[in-house]
Amino acid sequence: MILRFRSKEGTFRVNTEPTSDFELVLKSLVSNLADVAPMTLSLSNVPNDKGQPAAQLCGKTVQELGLKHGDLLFFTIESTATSPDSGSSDTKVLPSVEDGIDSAMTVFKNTKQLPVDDFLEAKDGKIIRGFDSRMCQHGSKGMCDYCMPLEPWDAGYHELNAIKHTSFHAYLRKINSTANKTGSSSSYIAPLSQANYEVDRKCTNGHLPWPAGICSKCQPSAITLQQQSFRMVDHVEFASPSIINSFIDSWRQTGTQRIGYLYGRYEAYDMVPLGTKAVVEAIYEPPQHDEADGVTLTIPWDEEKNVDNMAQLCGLQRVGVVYSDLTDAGKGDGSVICKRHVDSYFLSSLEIVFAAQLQVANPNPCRWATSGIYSSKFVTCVITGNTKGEIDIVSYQVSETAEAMVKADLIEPSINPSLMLINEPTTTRYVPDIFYKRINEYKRAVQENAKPAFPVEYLLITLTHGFPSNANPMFDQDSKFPLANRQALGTSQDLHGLSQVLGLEKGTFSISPETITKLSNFHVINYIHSLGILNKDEEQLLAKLASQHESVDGYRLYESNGWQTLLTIIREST
Amino acid sequence: MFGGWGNSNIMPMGLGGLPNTAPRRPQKFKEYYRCFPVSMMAGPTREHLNWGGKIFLPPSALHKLTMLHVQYPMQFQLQNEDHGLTTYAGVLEFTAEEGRVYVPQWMMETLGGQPGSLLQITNVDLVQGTFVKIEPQIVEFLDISDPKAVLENVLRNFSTLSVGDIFKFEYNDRIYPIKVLEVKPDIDSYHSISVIETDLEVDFAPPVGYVEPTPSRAGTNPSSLDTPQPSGVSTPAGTMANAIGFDDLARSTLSAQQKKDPFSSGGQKLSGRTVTTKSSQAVENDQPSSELDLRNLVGLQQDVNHVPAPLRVPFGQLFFGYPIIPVKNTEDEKDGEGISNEPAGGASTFHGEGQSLRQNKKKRAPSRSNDNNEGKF
Repeated sequence: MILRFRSKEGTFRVNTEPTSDFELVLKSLVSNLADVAPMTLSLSNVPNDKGQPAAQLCGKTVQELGLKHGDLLFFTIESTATSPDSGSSDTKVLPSVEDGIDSAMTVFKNTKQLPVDDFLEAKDGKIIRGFDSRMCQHGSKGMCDYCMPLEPWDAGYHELNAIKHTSFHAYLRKINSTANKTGSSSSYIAPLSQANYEVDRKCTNGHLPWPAGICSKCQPSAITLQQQSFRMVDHVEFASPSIINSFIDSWRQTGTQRIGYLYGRYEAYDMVPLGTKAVVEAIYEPPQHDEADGVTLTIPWDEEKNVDNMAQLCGLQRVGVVYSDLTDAGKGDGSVICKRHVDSYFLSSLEIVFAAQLQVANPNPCRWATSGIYSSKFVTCVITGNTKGEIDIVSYQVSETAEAMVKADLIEPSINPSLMLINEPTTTRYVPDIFYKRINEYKRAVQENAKPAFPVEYLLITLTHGFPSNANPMFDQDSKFPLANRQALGTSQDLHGLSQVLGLEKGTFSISPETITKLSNFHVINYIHSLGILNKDEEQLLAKLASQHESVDGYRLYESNGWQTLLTIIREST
Repeated sequence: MFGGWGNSNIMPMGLGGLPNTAPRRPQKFKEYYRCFPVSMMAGPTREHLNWGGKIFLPPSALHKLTMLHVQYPMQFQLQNEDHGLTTYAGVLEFTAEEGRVYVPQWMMETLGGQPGSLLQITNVDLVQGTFVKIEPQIVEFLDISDPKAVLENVLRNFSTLSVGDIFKFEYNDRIYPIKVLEVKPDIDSYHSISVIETDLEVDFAPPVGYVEPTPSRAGTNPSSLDTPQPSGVSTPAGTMANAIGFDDLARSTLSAQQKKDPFSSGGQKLSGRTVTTKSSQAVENDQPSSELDLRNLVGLQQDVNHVPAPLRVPFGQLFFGYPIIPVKNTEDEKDGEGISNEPAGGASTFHGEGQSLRQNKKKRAPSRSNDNNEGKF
């Protein structure tokens, strides 16, 4: 006899015997479905009814359940996806294809964004213009086309102020204004979606999964490379020049390059409409092998979690990466060779892939995207020589396309720093058509196939950088405490150095503004953490003291058991 | 067996020498032993012993030395009387078999000894050194990024340095022989200093085989292309380029380019004159300036028709040693266009400017099609 089952997934027929157990029927049913356990089904004999869970029906034969040849049953699959935990910041809601609009709304409501994103979303963002004495014909209280506020993505304003890319939030406003009507909350379509250049292997269009079969629905569409019009972060601000100075001290002493992660926070940047800036408070140099013409990170980095955790306690996060590419010009005046300029390259193909991998690893939670994450706010800074031969910082991001291409393993760096290679297709990698537009030798814009190589500029986004005019860094900048992972330079962190920081050399430790300043150092608190003497609460207190400099926290820390143990240990061992 | 108390100038204690009444002057320890390299020592192999300046003596030597009131730290002169070669050493352990002395391999070579040849060992009192001049025997010594730290660490295993010695140490799986050229204070009878508990000033002679880089002809090292090097300073650059085989990758790209045209062949002319084809021109041009081509290929031309080799390195490795394209100095060009024609470097004696009767409208700046990037924003 045949039983029919109908659901959202489609209609299925199961051949069975009247005397066989219903569980066997279910097992043969779920063999048609991907990733479904028999016990997650609910069955009913009327449509749009939840019916009974499968577990209650198992153990009975088909006959006992009163089913006859050709009977139609309706089943639903209990969703195993748990509702997102709104408390954690890295929540990712991955909606399935079938519940499109509903889940876009769920994602919109449940995704927790960075505070800066929430702040910028609440802002109006309009570019205010004053009374134009030449064009305005009206009184001082009137308003006309020439003085009404501009939209934040206004191209003329950006050109006038030499802003190369619009900010992410201005871009978001622009595309959201076409995707959703303002004020109507009844229908919502997510304006953003992460690019995905992989073949959908769960395509339900009735063919074998890729590579055995492919259809226009599951294959990624052709990619046309173009410079991304917006940037996730507009500006990188180093809280103090000495952060960079102590970083390049390593190069000054050894002549080898150095790499470090930037720790800081994101803030609104008011030089660009609805702009975002990354404020860097500290650079942490992970274990690495430095050479004159390259750096190699030592992976895995054991302390990674601890440092990230300590930064979080200070209210910071990893905002980017910085590395030096400096070669002395040999003139004896401290000038360096300018390697990266218009005629050579800005970020080599290898570095672009590296940056893209880091951006993929540090996604940006965004409620306007279908998946709850969109691109990344991770920046890449290079310290290198500018055209005048001075040591300068340049900061970049790579485009969302680059992230997706790296994720789908489509591109590969080449020995030519300004050319990126496209990988050959294999059985595990589908490579769609990739095009780019360029001005050819006849000064015409032509579209060219990007295989086998294309210029890296299409993936690159330039950011600005700077130092604040009135610096107020979170951490002490004059500290003599050695930096972590600088054993190759002959300095290492030890209790002796810590006792100098705490002033134990000259007497007893006491809480004073001076000692609080000295304790306020990202490297000192990470070293104290690595000793493992303080417990969680005390570490939290220490981080709070280091970041906010409240003497109340200092006294509370001073009274804690762990701190006294630490002081005793230092006193005994130095 | 040699030794015993033979040819020593003191009397054995047992015979009632008056050690307490006589003024305590250093007494001589002088013995003959058969020398063997430390690698022949019993027990587990201790490779690092070869990279030091200390020897192994038998326990009986310790017994004698303790009774002789020798100066500490104990230092010995090792003499191969057959060849008349001498060196100096400290002692590490008194664990050798009786009648044998184990010395590091480099010391065997210095003394010209075969395993089993006789060595005369005399205790000496060396002065503390203040200065040493050394000459690395291989050029790779220059690749050590921090020679001070390395030498400080290595010399811990030595207690003496003698002129003419070529001692060896191991660093990063590589053996570095170093010759001692000069020591101070240089006492005529010894030519050797003690390096224990002393601040030593170290001077380096250029390594054997080191060639001063000539500025006219840049080396094959990609990072040294167009890099002005201060004279006398060698670059430890290019270590990662070597590790990832950057040059080979670039060359393979180059050769792939040349092979690319499958229909390259010569043509014939009825007149009998030779036909110059494109590819033969290219090959001819390659021969003198292969380095220039290398740079063009790897470097920074944006011609997508030249497919470069992939650069496959693990995540977390960054390479910066690409050939350097010098930045075009726009200010110099502007100066050239100016009316006042001061020679920029003062080097060009015959400097002038052509005149055109027709007023040309505008000097066209050389433009590139793909420059869509700027430095700012």
